Amino acid sequence: MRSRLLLLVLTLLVAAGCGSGSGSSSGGSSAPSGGNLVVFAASSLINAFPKIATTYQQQHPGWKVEFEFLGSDQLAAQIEQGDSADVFAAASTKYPEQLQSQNLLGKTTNFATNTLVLATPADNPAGITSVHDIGNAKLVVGDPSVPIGAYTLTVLDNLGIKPSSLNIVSQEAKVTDIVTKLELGEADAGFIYTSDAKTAGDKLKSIQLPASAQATATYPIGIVTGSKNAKAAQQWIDLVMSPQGQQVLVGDGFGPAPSS
Amino acid sequence: MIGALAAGLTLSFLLLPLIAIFLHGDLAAGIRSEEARAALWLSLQLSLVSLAVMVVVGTPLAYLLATRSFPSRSLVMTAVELPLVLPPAVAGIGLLMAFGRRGLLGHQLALAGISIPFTRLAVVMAMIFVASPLYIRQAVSAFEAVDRTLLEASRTLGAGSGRTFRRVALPLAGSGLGAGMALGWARAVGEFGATIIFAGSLTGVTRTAPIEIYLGLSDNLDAGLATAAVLIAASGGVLLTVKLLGVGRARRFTPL
Repeated sequence: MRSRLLLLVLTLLVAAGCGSGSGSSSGGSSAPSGGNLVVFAASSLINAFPKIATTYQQQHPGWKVEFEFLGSDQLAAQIEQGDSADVFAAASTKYPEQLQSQNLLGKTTNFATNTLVLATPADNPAGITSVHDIGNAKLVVGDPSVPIGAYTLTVLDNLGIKPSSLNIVSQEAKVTDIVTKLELGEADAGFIYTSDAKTAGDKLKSIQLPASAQATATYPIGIVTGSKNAKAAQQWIDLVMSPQGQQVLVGDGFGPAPSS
Repeated sequence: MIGALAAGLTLSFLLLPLIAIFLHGDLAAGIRSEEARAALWLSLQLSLVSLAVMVVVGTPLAYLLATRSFPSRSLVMTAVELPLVLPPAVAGIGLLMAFGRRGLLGHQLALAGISIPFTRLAVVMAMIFVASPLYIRQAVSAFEAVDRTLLEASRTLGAGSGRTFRRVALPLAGSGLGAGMALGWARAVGEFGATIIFAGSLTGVTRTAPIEIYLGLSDNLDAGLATAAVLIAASGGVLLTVKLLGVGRARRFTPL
């Protein structure tokens, strides 16, 4: 009786394993004419990239773009641990360079830039009007290990504000977690990307930073070494760099690809 | 034969990921990291506070549920068990909607000068919410297994219901309650989803071991792995100890 139960559980597990396994790899030989293109992208791209994917799937019938949106650092760690991705788009040059040094990522192109804003809930409970009002506010920021947190430290440093003098109540792993806590009104203010503030619309109030304090995030994109869909991945990158792709990104609050 | 094969496969499937954690990376370096230590220490403190609350409040409730039959008993049992089957994210959002600044009680709490999110209290509440059902269910089973005639004998011999509970029911249900405490504690230590939503993540305040493991993926994999290894050893140790102490009644209930 007991062994039959075990067997049943085991069969279910194996079945579940097979089910999820067969879907992800596109199979086929050298250049498949269709399949799933797996794009690992920084969570700040969560709105812009699916819009570009719609265009991509129209231009390349048979292909479906699958996204994983997480902190760039976590995506890089997943690629290091052998997760199969075709494209990596990060919110900082640090992690792509880290992967390149291990031969895990090909040449990258910078496809967008982003800046930071100070955001508050729509009703601005702490009455913040400038970045110098944040002294007593409950602040939610990015963890220093993720790009948004590192950029926030740069901005604070540029402003001559010591993080230890602030009331930081949480250091989040993803930009979207900062946005959520602001939208729910649990925190008074937080530093997020201009693109996130644009996406949030009137759910958040954004306060511009002085230009001299601004930190500019550069977004590189590249093909993951060993991708079986290298051609489709290059087509995705080309589309992101095209006027059409750039228009979507700028419309979502990103700066255009830096000319370098 | 099939049974042995199934057992072998199941065991390797369940244990391989846990063993892999011990084989990967530099655990000694990881455990020396300040983040890992801060997170483990915080988890230990807050999980013990949670356990204390669960036991103090949950034990009388479990005794009531085990010894009395009343019309809404199924309803109460369902309410107690519901957090077991809900995703922790639901717990996190629910706690925010109830106790957050804009939650149901947010206004009253603010008037009283209390702000719960982003505090240690928020972590404890998240832990209790997800872990107390395990303790209460186990405690109900333990009390139900106590021979009714012994309780009745105690009452006929003149002991009040309080004294009967303390002197007869508690000692007889003791091993079952111990198993429940082990399960509840282990679940509280493992709490992640509700905590990250309701309490946030700040080193030394709300960044518990599971959150440190999650963040370790990016920043310091060794620290994350070392934290994970300690959790596996501690939880495994507690569960095994309870079994070795001969908690026969624990078999009445297998956690999800």
